[in-house]
Amino acid sequence: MDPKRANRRQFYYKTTRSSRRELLRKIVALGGVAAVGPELMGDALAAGKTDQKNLAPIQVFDLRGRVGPNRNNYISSVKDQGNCNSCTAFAVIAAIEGSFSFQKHQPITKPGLEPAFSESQLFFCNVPRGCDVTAWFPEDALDACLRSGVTDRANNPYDPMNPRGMCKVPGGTWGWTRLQSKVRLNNDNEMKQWIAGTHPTGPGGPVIAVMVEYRDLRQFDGGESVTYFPTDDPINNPRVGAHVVCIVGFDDTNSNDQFWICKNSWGAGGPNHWNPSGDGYFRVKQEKTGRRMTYIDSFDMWGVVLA
Amino acid sequence: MASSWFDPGGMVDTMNAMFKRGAALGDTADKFRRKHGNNGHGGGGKPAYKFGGFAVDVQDAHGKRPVPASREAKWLIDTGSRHFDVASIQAIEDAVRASLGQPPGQEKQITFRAGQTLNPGEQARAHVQKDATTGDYIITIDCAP
Repeated sequence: MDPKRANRRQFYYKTTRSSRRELLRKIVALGGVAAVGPELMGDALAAGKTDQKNLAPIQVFDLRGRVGPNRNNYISSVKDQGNCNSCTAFAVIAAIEGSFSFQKHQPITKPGLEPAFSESQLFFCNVPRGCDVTAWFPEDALDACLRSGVTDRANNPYDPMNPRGMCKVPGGTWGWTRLQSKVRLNNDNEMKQWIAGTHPTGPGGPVIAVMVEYRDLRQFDGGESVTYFPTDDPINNPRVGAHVVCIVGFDDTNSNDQFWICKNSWGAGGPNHWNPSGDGYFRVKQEKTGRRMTYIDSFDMWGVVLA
Repeated sequence: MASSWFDPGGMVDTMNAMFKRGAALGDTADKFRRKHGNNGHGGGGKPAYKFGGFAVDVQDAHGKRPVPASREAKWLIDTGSRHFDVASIQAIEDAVRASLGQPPGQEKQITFRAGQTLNPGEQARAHVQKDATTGDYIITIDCAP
């Protein structure tokens, strides 16, 4: 690990709650970027020591801890929905898993040691047409989660090679994780606040967002270094429909290239897979200015609150 | 989330307002020709007409668009190839081109009607009928609620 980064991480872990609150106050007092993790922000807000509206806008935040001030990974591994229209279930479960880690302050420190909930049980118990469904929106999926909770993936695993799964009758030993509420996010600012844990009405975490899908998304290979924006060519790049992703971060540092960091459910990259030079994540252009094509930050965006 | 077609003020109402004989139809045809050429097939730097985008892109002199901003994304999704039967999209495009591609003043009225309510998640379909006498079109939309 880069020694500077290691030092920063060590500093982060060694600081006490009171010194972290002090650090936040200093950041704000200096007019700097108040980009903070949930512990720090939660402490500060809970203690009533700072006023949210006085915070400088956060420029970059990544719930994976790859860029920006957050050094912890709160995001579970990338999944593959296979040849099935189940993106809504995958995005919603990804957001619940990320919210679980973020809201309980339990970073994922080792591969495999992460919250893992069942996309199959959510999807096949609530979508009558199963994989052939053409429109199942996050609100419907979240309502299903609010009714019954989500169960562990091991109880009804999803096979991307043979995704036509089934709704299982819950066993008596199944564990269930409950949601407290769903929160509609109305614009890009609210999305950023939610992701960074500074939203006034909730603890934050990943954001579920619907985007208008165009044919060229399937052919995208920009890894995580190129920002996706659909080619405006209705003949050669027609609209397909809706796609749902889990947004795990954002980067506003370059005013000409502001983007969302999205966790997709089309596998983790590599040869012969979607976005082969990436690892399952991709950037999508923020659309607060200019022509809107994907509507990723203006149409249907949600956060979740775990019970 | 409800379909953008049948709800009050939804797409059936919007499309009927655009394709109603008279000033509205003439205005729609004028915008159509300017954007997609006289026959809707593009050329000369103009893109060919495709169903869905036109209703979102065009605007009147006051900047008003047929599809309200709050409904744009849902409209684009509902008219995508996963959500709408591709043959039906083609049939609608043919009817629109045939209507708006007429010489000015001779455009054919298109009336959209709500048809069958399909099961949730089922692809929407369109049935296009042409009136043998007037040449006007009636397009019946079957879609999920």
